[in-house]
Amino acid sequence: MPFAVVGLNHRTAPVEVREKFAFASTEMTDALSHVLDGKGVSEAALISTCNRTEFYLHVTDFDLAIPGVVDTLAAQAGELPKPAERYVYVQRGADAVRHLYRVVSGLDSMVLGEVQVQGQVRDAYEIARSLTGQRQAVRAVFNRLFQSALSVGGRVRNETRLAEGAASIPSAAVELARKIFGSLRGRRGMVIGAGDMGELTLECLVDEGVSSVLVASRNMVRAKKVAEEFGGSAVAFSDFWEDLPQMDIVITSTAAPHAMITLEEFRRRMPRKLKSPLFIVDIAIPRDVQPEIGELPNVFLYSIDDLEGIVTANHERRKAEVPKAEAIVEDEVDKFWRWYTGLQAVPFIRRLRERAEDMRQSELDRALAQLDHLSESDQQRVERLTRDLLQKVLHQPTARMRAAAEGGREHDILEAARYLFGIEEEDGLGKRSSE
Amino acid sequence: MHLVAYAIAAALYLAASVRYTMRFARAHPGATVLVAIIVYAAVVSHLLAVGLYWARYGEPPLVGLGPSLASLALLVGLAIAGLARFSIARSLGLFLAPVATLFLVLALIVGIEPTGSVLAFRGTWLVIHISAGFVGYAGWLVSAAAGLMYLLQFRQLKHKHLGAVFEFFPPLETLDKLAEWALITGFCTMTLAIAIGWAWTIRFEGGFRWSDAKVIWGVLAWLAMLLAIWIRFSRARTPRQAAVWNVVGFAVVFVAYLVARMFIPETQFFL
Repeated sequence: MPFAVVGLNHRTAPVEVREKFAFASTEMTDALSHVLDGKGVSEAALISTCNRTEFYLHVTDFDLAIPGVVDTLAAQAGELPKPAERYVYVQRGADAVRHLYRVVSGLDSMVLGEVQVQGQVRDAYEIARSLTGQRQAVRAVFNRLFQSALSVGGRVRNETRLAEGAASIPSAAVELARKIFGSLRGRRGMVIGAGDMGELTLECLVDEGVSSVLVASRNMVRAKKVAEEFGGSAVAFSDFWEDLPQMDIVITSTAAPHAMITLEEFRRRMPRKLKSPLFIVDIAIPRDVQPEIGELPNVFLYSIDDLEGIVTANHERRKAEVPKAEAIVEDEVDKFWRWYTGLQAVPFIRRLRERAEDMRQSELDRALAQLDHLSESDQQRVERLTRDLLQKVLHQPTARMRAAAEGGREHDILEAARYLFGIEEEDGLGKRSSE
Repeated sequence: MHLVAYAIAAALYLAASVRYTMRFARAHPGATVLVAIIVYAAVVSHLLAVGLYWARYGEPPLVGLGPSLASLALLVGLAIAGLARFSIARSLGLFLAPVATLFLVLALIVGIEPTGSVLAFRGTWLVIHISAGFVGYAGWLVSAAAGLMYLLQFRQLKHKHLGAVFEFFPPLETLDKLAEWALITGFCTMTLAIAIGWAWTIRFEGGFRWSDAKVIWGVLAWLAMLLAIWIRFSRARTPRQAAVWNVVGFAVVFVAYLVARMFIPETQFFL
């Protein structure tokens, strides 16, 4: 199959190199145009995310196409610690198709089974489709390739559990919060001590709809900055107890050497019975919250070890789903390959039908000239008769030729058909078949 | 003919129960199209059975143990169907589908036929009275199932053992709201049923029939629901305590029914 993928990802290049190769969405159409202007490329698409930059190509000549694309990547990256070729991989034929299917399924992602990549591939496809005219990047083959890739991603996520369960500490916190509160829309959250992980967790919770964010930190400048970022407000560290009873979710990530939220203080400051649940995520080391608080009614306390345990268990479960996902990918590569090889028969079938139609038309004209006594409606009947007859005669051979091509026997069957019907190399099919 | 339709409905409820159990065993609440189709088919078959019964005997299947159990199963089936496809609480079917199956199988065993006894209290008011009572019991059942799921989910979250229950069951808040909604609906319809029955006995018999087992049991269920509502809306109580009472209260009412059936004459029961 004349397909190739040329690019780099998190396995072949560190982040400082990957970011140099990355294309902004505004640069992608220019990059694609540039690749299509080069020789040997008939269709192209570009996926550029934080973990990968990859050109997908439908080529007419590998030797001409691939060096040109590598040059485009190198030009984008500029100065690098090593030559661009050291980071770049090339996969051809079915391997390139398989690679795309694995990417869209999350099998090739840094976080196994991540779902965002599906949207990123869809965006890449849409950007490529937006190129029209002489530099049309997506035609029949890439349309089919990318649509099938997106459906492979859907199939893997529906039929396996590859994307299930939180894959990071912040997403584990969000997953737990969802199981306690259902929707997080309108919930109130507080971060005590604005460490990086706390901020990241807060970001995930805000994305899920948590509003009314409070940030309490000893460093008020930092607290205000974080609060501003999430549309919340900063409070002095010493005042956090005042607001704690109104919160649904509390994230603690201070650098304090001992627990700041003790059982004694909690009992003194909080209502005796919490009517609604309080979810506390303690991601500080050493812990900010005394573990005994987790025993109180309606308090759900999770430490960083608890969250890591969830992430590890989910990762193991995702890994166990890989064979199932790979089997789906293989099945779909096989289907695509059959469809693509089936295309080999199309030009021949078109030529055969054109020739048969020409013969029918000329024979019909000749016959009708001798049957000028027929009424107009009778002439139309004769015309319809010849058309239907031709359709019926050609239906079986064309269907069989298509099936044979899809089954990988295109060479023998089409050669025989060419010989039998007297349609030789006029369509250039032989050249393509032998590629 | 109606028995065939009831049997098909029972088989479909059983298939739905198996499907829910399989999904629970795999902790996979995702794609629910198949189980939703099975539940909808069961309810359609069940409704057809009710229609055939009504057409044959000229009355809805509300009087007698078999018809009553079959109608109660239909209400449970409708609740599962309502939750099956779109609701975040669809996994409630894990508890409700086996209940619907059990009710309908029991009904088929005892026979879904009219009792033949002539009731003093007849007509539209009887239909409303019994239907409202059944909706009340079905609401109580849904509320108890949601309460039980709440307690199991609460336990997993509290003890950080995040297994199949965590994955398959809905969030605590959803279960709490569902239990509340089902309980209030059930209480309102049960109140209506008791009010109609009370009005009828006052009007035609001159007083409430306290000696009748079904009256005592109905009032007991109503009081248990009232208590559950009071606990739920009491400021001092937590959602967990409300869930505990949903389960315990329902269990008390159910055990009371079983005990009463063992010692009280058959004629005093509609269920």
